Amino acid sequence: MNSDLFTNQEDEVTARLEKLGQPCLSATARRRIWQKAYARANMPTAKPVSRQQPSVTFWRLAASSVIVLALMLTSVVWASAQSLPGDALYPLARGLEAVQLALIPATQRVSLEMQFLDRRAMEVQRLVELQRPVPPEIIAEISTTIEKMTQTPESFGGATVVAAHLALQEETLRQVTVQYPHDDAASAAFEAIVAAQLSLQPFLTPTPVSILLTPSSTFTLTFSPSPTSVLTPTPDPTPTPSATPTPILVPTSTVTATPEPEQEKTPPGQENTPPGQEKTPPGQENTPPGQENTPPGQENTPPGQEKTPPGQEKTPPGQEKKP
Amino acid sequence: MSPQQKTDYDEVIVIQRAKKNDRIAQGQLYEHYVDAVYRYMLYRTGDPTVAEDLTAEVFAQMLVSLARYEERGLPFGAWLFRIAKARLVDYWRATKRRERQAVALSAEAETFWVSDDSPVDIQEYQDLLKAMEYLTEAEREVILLRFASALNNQEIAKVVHRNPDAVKSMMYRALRKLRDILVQREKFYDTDTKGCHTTI
Repeated sequence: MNSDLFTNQEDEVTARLEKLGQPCLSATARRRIWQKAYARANMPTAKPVSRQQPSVTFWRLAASSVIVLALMLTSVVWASAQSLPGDALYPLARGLEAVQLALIPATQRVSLEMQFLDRRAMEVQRLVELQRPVPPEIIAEISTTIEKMTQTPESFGGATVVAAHLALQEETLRQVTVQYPHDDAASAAFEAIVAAQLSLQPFLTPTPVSILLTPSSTFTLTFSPSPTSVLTPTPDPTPTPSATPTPILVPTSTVTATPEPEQEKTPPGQENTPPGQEKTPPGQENTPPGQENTPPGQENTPPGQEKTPPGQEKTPPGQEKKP
Repeated sequence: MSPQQKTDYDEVIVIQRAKKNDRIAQGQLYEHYVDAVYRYMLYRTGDPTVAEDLTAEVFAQMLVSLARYEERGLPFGAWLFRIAKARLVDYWRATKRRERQAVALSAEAETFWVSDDSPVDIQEYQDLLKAMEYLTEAEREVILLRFASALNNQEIAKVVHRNPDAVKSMMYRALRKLRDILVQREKFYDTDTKGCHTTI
């Protein structure tokens, strides 16, 4: 069989190798193998097609399961973040907070703790709004954290930061004491916060205190109309050359001198528009830039003198230098 | 060329009948190729029990896939040995064995086979397999397909996905290597035997 391929040199080797093909299976072994083959051929796993189908189905199932699990996990985490003390998912939210605290680097842990403290305050405020009882352990937790912050304010970002957080907690506890006057724990915590704020007063600089600790000053700043804001109307990008500045001048100067009380009730976004300009007649809103306002140097002229009458803008030739 | 030449065996007709689920034709195909497949498996694994299982798997696969077989330039023997090779690779993968690992022929192999000519000397086969350890994996593959399973060069080329000329030259190189190895080994044992005689 191999004489066409090999030379005499390999004849001896091929003769020995031919012996590899001599042994034959015994009749018993032959029959046994055939029976095994027949049995396996009738098994569904022996078919190559059926081997591939489960793998595709398996991967599809696995992928869809992973997606469904991820969606479920995300929705549960989101729902737990919205939960309040007493809800079923609230322990999960607290557990996630604990995990966050454990995993975050030590340098950022204080910031996260303060963030969680503010979250407690929001939860308590929400409970008060819903007229649900405030768990005493939440009050105790707030008190403990505040005590820690007051003792070592520098480790929580300084007295100013601590004071800001205390203001929020004070407001929260004040709401609790108003809603539940017999809640001794809340009252005690409220008094402790007031005392803590007083103890922090010497360390506070004036500017942040006036903003952070006295909310009334903030309201004053918001509602008092600034004269500069009134005098800076928005220039319109589409000018109409036909419009003349004359009709606009009168209402502008009037508004500047006496801001009307109705101005406080203007809707958001229109606070800086003068009342007189909202009622400009149609066709005059699109005044060209530089013409919609009073000309420079004429803003503060008294009413009636804002503009020289027509024909008197320029002195006739030859009369300019007369005394 | 087929593994076992029989006068009343017309492979094309037998395959056509076997594809129509003719049990007798399927049995004829099995009888025609079972020894070749078994020897291939035995010389690659060394374990007669494993070789028997793998052989059964090959013919189970043949029975399942026979309806889809079409000649189209791929002889039936080459098609069957492609299945055998795939099953062998699966076995190696499942047992985490490496293909290059040395094969030691188990003594149990004697109970599985009979030889037409003379009683089987398992040591002789052992020596040949030992010498083949020095061949490359591809060389060992073509030598066993040629001498243990009696495939011709065209069929071997189809099984190993190579050119027939490449198979031919590879086999030539493998034979020269084997010849050198066997000669060296005999010289070594002759010297050793003479040395023993002189010492005794």
